[in-house]
Amino acid sequence: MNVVIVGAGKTGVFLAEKLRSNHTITMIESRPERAELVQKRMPDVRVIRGDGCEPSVLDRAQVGQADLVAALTGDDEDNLVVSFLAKTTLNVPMVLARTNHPKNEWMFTKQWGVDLGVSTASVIYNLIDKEVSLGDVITLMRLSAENMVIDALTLTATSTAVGKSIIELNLPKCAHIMAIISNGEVVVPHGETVLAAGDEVLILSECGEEAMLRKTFGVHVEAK
Amino acid sequence: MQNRLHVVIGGYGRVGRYLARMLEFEGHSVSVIDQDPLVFECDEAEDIMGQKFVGPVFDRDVLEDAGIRDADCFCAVTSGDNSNILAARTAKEQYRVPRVIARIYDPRRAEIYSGLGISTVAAVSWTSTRLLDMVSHPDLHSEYQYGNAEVEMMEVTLPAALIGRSVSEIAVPGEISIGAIVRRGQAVLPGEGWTFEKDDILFINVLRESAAKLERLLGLKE
Repeated sequence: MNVVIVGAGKTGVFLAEKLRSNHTITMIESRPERAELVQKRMPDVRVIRGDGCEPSVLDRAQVGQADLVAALTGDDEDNLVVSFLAKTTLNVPMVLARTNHPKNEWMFTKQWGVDLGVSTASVIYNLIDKEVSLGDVITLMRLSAENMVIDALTLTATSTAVGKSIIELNLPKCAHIMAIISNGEVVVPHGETVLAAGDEVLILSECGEEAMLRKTFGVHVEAK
Repeated sequence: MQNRLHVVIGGYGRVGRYLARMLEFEGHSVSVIDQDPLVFECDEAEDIMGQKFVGPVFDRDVLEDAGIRDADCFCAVTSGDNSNILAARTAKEQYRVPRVIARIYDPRRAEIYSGLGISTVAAVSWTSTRLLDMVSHPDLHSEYQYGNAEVEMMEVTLPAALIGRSVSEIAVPGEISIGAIVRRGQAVLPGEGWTFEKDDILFINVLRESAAKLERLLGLKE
């Protein structure tokens, strides 16, 4: 894939380093020292120095040919404007944007060209808020495009799903298991994968299906 | 006096401050928002009557405190293009404010955003255009700029060479049209077959690109 990352901060650079072996990466960074440093560290990545909110800089970075744009600066306004320009003027198929301040989350939607808004604060908040009920369904992120969510669910010893294979779970069509984190390893699941206590299951599902997921996996949530 | 409007102004820099005072002078009610509490410090004589709010200009709580729900107009005039467009779209799309105006410095973004139903004042292209006109067409005095100065209204005192000539000689469809003529102190709209008279003051609408052509038609330039 042709990926453009706007903002070469810690998150942007981490992603570029992870992705660069399998994808073509372009980074846009406005701070000259930072751009230079990143270019030295990853010579195979194309680093464009400039403000990603300026249409001319997006042209220079050939964002029009990108399959995916990730707006990851530390500034929500910048991320929204980058997303908006990438989607509406350059028709980029997939636009991800990072929300820095939870109060701005409501803007990270299709209206600003954002297909997927990722809010670290929200993810952590959800984790903390629901920590007391281990085994509950935690929403990691919302996919604004399709009204879908990615839920995470940790199986306790008493979960009825423990010992069952994925086929046996009979998951409804509106939910799909993306990955299972088992003993710290990420497992790509298939029908015969058997679930164990302590497994964390990542599920792509439609919004508002948490009750169904709890039932399917037989996790009993103690009343708070 | 025309209707009293409630105007919310996002950004209290030079423009926000001046605009707020002018609006209050005309009898409108104003509330202003700025991220920086220090900008509100000023001499009593310079102060406005309207309420001041500190916070991001696109923050819904702050906008609501400033009366965005009952606002007739919202003007986004912070120093940041991004803040301005965020605030303007919020006012337009979340609160359905009837008239929303944003100052946008970057000419390309100003053009893109004006397609969103938000009036933009393209500060950089507008200023540069005016400057360019003053440099290259010093004899034409631009009285008014339509849109972002794609079309301008020029005020010209009739050059002596044109006395007695037909008004239609100055008109070029799609490029140049005579708006009004002030003749002996009275404004008139020229009719069919009119000719110019001595001391006519002409108000001419002209497409930017055709300013040089107008100068030639008026005999101001060879």
